[in-house]
Amino acid sequence: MFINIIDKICFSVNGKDGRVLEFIESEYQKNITDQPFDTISFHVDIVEDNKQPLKYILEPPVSYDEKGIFIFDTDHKILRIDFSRIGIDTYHVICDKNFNPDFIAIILEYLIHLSFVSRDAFFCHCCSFVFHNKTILCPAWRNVGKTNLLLSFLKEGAKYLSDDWCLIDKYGGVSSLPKRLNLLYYNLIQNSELLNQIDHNLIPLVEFFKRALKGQYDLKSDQMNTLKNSLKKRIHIYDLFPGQLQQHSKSIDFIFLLTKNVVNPERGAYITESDCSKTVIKINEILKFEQRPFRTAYNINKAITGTKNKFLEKHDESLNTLTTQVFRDVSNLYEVHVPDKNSTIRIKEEIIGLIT
Amino acid sequence: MSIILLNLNNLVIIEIIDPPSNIMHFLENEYYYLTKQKNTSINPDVRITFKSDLEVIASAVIVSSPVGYDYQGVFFFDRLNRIARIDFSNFSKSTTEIIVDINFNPRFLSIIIEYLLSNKLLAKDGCFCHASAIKYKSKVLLFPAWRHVGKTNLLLSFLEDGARVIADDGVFIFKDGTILPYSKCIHLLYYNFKEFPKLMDQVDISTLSLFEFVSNARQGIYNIDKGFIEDLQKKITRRFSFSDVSKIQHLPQEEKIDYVFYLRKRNTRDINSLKIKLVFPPYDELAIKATETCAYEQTYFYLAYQTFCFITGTRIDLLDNSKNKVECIHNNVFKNTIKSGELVFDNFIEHKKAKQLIKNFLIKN
Repeated sequence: MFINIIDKICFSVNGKDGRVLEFIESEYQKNITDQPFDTISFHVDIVEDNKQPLKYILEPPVSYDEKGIFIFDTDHKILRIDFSRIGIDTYHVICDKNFNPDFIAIILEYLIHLSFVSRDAFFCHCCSFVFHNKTILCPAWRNVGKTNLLLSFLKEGAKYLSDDWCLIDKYGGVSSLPKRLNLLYYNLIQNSELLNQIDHNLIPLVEFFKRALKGQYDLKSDQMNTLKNSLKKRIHIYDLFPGQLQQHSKSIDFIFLLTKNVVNPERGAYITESDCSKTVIKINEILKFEQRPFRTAYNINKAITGTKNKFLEKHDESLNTLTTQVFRDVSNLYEVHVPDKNSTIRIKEEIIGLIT
Repeated sequence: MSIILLNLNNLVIIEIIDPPSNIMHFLENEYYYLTKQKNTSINPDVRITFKSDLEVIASAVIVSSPVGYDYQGVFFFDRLNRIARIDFSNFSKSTTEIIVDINFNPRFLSIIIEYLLSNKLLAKDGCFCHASAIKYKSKVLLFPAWRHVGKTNLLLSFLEDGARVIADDGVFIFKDGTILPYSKCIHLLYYNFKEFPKLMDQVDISTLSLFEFVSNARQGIYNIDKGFIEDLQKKITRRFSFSDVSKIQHLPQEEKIDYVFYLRKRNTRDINSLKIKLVFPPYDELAIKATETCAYEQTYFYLAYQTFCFITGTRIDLLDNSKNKVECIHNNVFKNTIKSGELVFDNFIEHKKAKQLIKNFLIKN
């Protein structure tokens, strides 16, 4: 099968049934075709490839064996990438059929981003939506609260563009990517009125977890972690907020970069003005941080083979050029200082105050 | 006020003010180039000061262990959550201030000092190289390697044949092909003691007891889980001064590198070739390998710098271009030796064969 990403990038998926195939079919369900839309960027070959125990771990989650560098998950399932061809030619990603779906999601997103960079577009790690006819991007490092903020705006009728990653082209156009919202325990707790639509089976678990959080059952931290890990759900936007998906927006009106307020958390959430240079650096660093497993694997590949991939070597420079070009045309750049994940309502009100 | 200077040949000067006694003791054992001063020097490249109760606070953001940030900026933290703050502002232009908790882990502090020396040296065409180095029959041999590939065993093996140790775990190399050691210690692990059991004469009784237990456990005598044995094995780690492992006295001085042998662990891709081999790939390939090896050793430093970029929205050109610069220095060094090659061998027990291969090569060349 072929996955067409907004009719611009295409990759193939072939191989054995398992968690990976199941995940890809669910994640990209409306983007699966029998024929490729265009040139294939990469092939995902699903095989059986695992090692237990690993003999020589370089730096988790990266190691190597006779076939070269690989990335492994916590169950020692393996994924291999042909680094030499990325951005230059069609290349292969070979992955164990039961490789961790959350992990392969991250890797696939990065590979898709790379394919777009060679077409003058890039991924931005943000939630984004259209509200009062304004296109709003909220980039953030992980776990700062972008999903909760997005959900709060969707409940107010905003149109959805992205939860985690959106695609931005060199003219500043923002596109929604085929990707489910990834709801974690704190999203489910704060938005429990949505549980019926998300998965009604989660309702008793959320109720139980809420009480456990208050210390009612005297659970140990590892037991709490088990519950947290059970409390997650991926869901398509059209299943959660039907009719609120917007595929594309021509330009960005506001950027609210969410950062953890470590200076004065007691003050609550507040917003300050920012500038293009700072915004570019911060957004690029977020992207690089999110790509750490991939970058580690590529660097170790260089250490093993003594060779570089010219496209990947130029990536940071290309990204910097693209982001600068796009964000210098955005006149409303702000930074939101977030004390914790429970500040969603305050942030929403502050943002609404600014855009209206 | 007690002021200690770590002066690396006037290329980089680190001023350490009022270090706690345990850290002072550690630094004295660890470094050459230390002197006591009465007055503050005018413009050190780095100034390290100490404070009490510097620890990770509840509102701090842990980026990824051991790096975080709080309302005062970026910090490293040790296993007891004690912190060492680093201010990257004007890193290439003025004194970099490091503020360290008085109970911060001394070994981790020495690693931070290594990061700083390396990156401050970039402006002087020098950089850190993750390598051991020896002087053997009046020739200086450099052995860059990824960690745990066997460079310490090879070094210890050469010492048995009368080589003089220059450095164990890292050196500074310069574009003109010279080398400068900085630490006077050698870091020994289980595999080093296993191959050179005489070294056990110098360890304390608890390490000796642990070593004997692990050695037996590895043979399956106690039927203990492998993961548990490996965890215990990691605890067998000692830093010795060079004088403890070699009778030949070492003086830190600039030396010209004559030969480079990049050590690579043989993998099954090499299965059809000889067990040990000495090959001579192009210099630029070796430079890429050695650069990535060094960059890997400084992962935490670059994570801290990345965090600084994120929280301030500013960048430092010197640090942005550091990898290119490091590669350029390695390239120059490897090109200007008598010969630079790659020694491919398997695990830690082939050090004697590896040594013999190098000795044979040196005789022929």
